[in-house]
Amino acid sequence: MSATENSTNTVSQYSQYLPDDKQLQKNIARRNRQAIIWKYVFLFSIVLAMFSLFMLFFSIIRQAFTYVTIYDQVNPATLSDKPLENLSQQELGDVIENHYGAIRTGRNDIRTLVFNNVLGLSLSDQEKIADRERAKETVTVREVFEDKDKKYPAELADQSVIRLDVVGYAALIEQNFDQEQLYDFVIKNVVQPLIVNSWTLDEYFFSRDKVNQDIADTEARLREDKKDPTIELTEPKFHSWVQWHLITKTIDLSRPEDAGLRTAIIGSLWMITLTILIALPLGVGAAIYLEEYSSGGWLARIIQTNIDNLAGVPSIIYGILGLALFVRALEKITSGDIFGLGVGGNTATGRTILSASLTMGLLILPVIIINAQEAIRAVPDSLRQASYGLGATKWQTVWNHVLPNAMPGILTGTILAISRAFGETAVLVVVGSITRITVDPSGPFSRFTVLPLQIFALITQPQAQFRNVAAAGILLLLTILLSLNAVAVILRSRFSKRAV
Amino acid sequence: MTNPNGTSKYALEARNLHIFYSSFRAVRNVTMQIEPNKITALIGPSGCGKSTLLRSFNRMNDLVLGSHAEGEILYRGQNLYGNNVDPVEVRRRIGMVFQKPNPFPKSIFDNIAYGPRILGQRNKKILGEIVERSLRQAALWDDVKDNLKKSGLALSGGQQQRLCIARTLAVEPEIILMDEPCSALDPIATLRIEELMRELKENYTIIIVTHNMQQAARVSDYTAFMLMGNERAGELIEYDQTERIFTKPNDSRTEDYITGRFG
Ligand SMILES: Nc1ncnc2c1ncn2[C@@H]1O[C@H](COP(=O)(O)OP(=O)(O)OP(=O)(O)O)[C@@H](O)[C@H]1O
Ligand SMILES: [Mg+2]
Repeated sequence: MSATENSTNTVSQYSQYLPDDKQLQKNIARRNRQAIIWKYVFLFSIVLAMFSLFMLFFSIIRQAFTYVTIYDQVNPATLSDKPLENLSQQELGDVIENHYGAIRTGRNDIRTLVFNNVLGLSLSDQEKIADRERAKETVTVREVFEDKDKKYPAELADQSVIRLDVVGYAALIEQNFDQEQLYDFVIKNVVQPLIVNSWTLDEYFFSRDKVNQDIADTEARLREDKKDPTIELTEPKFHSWVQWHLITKTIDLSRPEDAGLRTAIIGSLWMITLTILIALPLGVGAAIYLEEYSSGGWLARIIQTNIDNLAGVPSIIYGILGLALFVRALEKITSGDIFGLGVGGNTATGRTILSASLTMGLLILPVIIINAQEAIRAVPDSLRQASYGLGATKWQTVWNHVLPNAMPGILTGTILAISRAFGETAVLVVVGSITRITVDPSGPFSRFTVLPLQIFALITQPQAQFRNVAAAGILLLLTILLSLNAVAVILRSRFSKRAV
Repeated sequence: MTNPNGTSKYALEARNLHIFYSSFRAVRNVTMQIEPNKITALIGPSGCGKSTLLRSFNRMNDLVLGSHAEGEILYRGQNLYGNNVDPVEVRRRIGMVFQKPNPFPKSIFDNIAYGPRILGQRNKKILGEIVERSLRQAALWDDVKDNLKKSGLALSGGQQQRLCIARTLAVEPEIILMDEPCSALDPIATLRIEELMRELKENYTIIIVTHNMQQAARVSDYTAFMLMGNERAGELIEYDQTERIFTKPNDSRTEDYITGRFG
């Protein structure tokens, strides 16, 4: 009875406090206005975000496709009567013999070229040869070339492999390269074309005056530098910095048009693969334990809190941890010394892919654990009960039902984590990636560099053209990231289809 | 569980059973005997501990963090809550069908073969026989025999529930526990499941929780009436042959509940 009284009372009280019809209409108009304002605020943020994204892509693409002028440091016409591409192997060999070093070549030292491009010797092998020579031993051409299964002229067989003259090295190159390789070698190391100017498309098409001025300036500078008043630059032509050699060639900090990122790409792929192999099983295992086995005691709660917090720790701190733990304390393991696989001798160091991957694994572990936990929690309890109800053990239930159904979620988390690891730089700077490396990593115990760091190194080069290479590298980085994500998305949809 | 020729003539026997969720006593002092090859119904108002009691019969309650039991449940003369009893074995012998049909997101075949598989049966041919027999027993064979590869989730609610029953039958339990197995089904599907239960009791002992008085009266041989007592703990008020409970109950509270005067 009293309940009914109460409710009638409340109704009458309400009508005093709530607006009457006229007020209501005003008030609705105001509320609608508010809603509309907020709607436009949200719309504006989306537009702003899209605009920034567009600007990002625009500025990268603008740098990756440009107009350039080229200056051949040695005029090809002075090398031979015929066009260079028509010369035979023999004739190209002569060109190298006679004209290599026509201009100061600096680090294009022909011996290094032979060691790197013909023999493919690693830095440590080259050092070993130098050490033996320093100890008054003669390392013969025969020994080194037969070891690598390469051809050599008989008359050079017993000479020291590091004391030949240009003619000798030219002969070695000629014997081991085909016509096409020789032509490339001549262009790159004798003619040595340089890209001396580079304009973005908009500059080229809309500020022709500036382009002409730039050309005139560069020509004047070159003529004065080389004391050669006949120097002329080629007509500006379109040049795409996104080129196949970006992935097939390694970095060359003397010639931007020839710089590739192969070493960095391979380094990145090695690092990411190892990181996944380390972090995914550990992370999923930890998530399974926390969700399915742990009984939620205080210890589990402390661990959980720590994992949640670790996900937000700045990566540089992981880098410092990795430096102390993996690079220094565990150097014997991470350098591969213990397994006899390291670079060997005094060059052995913990600054390897393995150290980087272990550190990176620690970095993304919390993210993987948290996402896997969420995915596992989202698996309906009714499935677990059905499985237990049939007499399944915990492990059978987890393996047959929880994991397959959580897989799409786990994969999503892993994608996020991998994307983070792929673009990560701070950790690797600390753990000791080197940017001037030109030797491809060959395994977990190699020294290495990664794509983002290599791009950073390119941008900091004084020569402006390296920024174009960097832009192309960024496009490459984005492409790799997108394809990784695409693979994961496909895997994910496979799994979720199977789950239904 | 090592004593298959147990001394008890009952399928299950609860003695002074108390069940707790952490410190909360959900079921107080239940003593009852379950007759073999009969259908026993548990009825009572919401929250009185029917599901809790039912789940304790095959130790599914162990899965709830913090739950524990005092007292005994005797199965073949052995205490299911004894120290040396593995709940995995208990559940393999005492199967369970849940309120909401919960087929695995797998094919019909795999749903039913799952139980035998985890018990170690890998032979394709034998698995095929088990699947067919279980589906026939659950009166689902004719509906699905043409497409055993179809996902279990693609069946109707009633079919899904029969699939879940078939899945339970595939591991040949002795006792089947059913927690409101028809509450998500329409009347026709409900009747089919009831019919199925009557057939199954030839070979199995069935314990069923239901809110449907007619259902309890229609299918069960014995009925247990539970009610929340002191401190919201569920108690067993009356347990007898269904006929007696529905015609001349001893306790006035039972009569009130059955005639719809409270609860
Ligand atoms: N997992 C759990 N954790 C804690 N308390 C629980 C849990 N499950 C049930 N309870 C409590 O135990 C008591 C009995 O619950 P139970 O589910 O057995 O009731 P029920 O008779 O099956 O009710 P219904 O008819 O609504 O299904 C209730 O007070 C409930 O709040
Ligand atoms: Mg219930």
